[in-house]
Amino acid sequence: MALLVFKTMVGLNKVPGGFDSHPSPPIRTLLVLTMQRVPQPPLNPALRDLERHDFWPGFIAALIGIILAFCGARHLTAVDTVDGGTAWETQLMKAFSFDGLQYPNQIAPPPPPKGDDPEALERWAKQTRNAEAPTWKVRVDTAAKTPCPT
Amino acid sequence: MECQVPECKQRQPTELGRKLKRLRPWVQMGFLGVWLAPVGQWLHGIPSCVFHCYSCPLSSFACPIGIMANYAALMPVALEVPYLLLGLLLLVGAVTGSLACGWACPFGFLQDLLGKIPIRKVALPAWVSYTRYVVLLGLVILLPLILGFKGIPYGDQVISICRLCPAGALEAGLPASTQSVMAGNGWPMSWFKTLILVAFFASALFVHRPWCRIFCPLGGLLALFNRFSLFHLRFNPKGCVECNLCRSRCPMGVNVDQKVNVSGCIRCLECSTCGALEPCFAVPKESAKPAPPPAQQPT
Repeated sequence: MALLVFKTMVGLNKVPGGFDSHPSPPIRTLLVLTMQRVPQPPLNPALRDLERHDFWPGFIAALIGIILAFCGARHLTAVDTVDGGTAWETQLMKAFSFDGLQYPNQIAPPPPPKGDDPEALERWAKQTRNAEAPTWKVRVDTAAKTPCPT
Repeated sequence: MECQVPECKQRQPTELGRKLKRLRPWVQMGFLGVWLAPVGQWLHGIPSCVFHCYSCPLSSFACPIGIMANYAALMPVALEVPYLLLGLLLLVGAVTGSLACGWACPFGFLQDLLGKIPIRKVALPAWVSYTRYVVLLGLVILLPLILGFKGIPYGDQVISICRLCPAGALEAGLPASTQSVMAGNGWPMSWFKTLILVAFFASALFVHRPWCRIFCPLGGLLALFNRFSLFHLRFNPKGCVECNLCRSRCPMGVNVDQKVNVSGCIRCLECSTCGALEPCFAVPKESAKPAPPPAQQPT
């Protein structure tokens, strides 16, 4: 069935007889039903708009598009990367698709040391107390590889 | 209502129309090789011009709608403008209009294939295409922006275009869920997203390109360029015999007998089979060929 639909679609199942005569016999009736012509009141073609497009609006818009795309490809954003650099726009977009954006509230504090070493525990508590709130609001992890962020 | 045009049933398609009709599925399949190229994952930093989930294991380019929604959610934290995305969409739109929808979009191709299953299709009113702009403004821009102002990152937003998108459910959710089921870990995709996927498949059997016609924000955006894009459809009054073929061929339900370069059009070029609507590129007036003088009428 799928092969038949595919062959019909690409015109390999064509049979002579003109337009809309591609479908094979078993499904022909059903296809004709779906391809019926819409009744249409007669129109006067002479009165219809030719719909010629002017060259310049499209050309100018395309030119602006090329300039924007070029600038975007070389654009350094205001977002930092995890390794201290600044993210390119392309890196930011890549981060969207790999869940590479980090927010300060998502950064977990270091876990407490294992074992019963009181010195290590004290050092950890001191570190946690003295840890300053991050100055960045968002940053890009360029190495992120989460397959589906949502 | 019976068609009042006497030649309606006898009209034959033009050679160009036949060729385009045969060529289109091959071009759509060729573009599948571009969008579903796992070796191109390094291209995720570049947005594509078609509706295609970047979480798909095989995806190459990034989804422009996902990028747009992410930028909107990021705006309260870092005021960034997606120049590359805007530039690419402007370039594609200005040159081809919504041609990418009809000839390059993998999700549109899937709906075309589903539409080939011979079940009688339901005709939708033309106004439903305006819903696309509600989705674009509401779900893609405003909702992520508002939730972003509330301090919720895009990935944590419970309602977002990515969580409701059937392309995401199909291209990313379904492979991951299938893999999970095969590993004996159950079905991880949410029931709501699964329901969306089922509803999408069911609707594609009864409506031609339901997603493109009712919801696709990218199609709506690209269709805005149809009115002035360089590539367009031109009406040739000499080729028109009022046979009704153009309107009957349009799978999107556009009244192409009245106006063809409209926002509901996906530029599939099916309407050009009659010969009265010709695909062409706009050229500067100075270099345009002068119109041939009118032929002398035999007396």
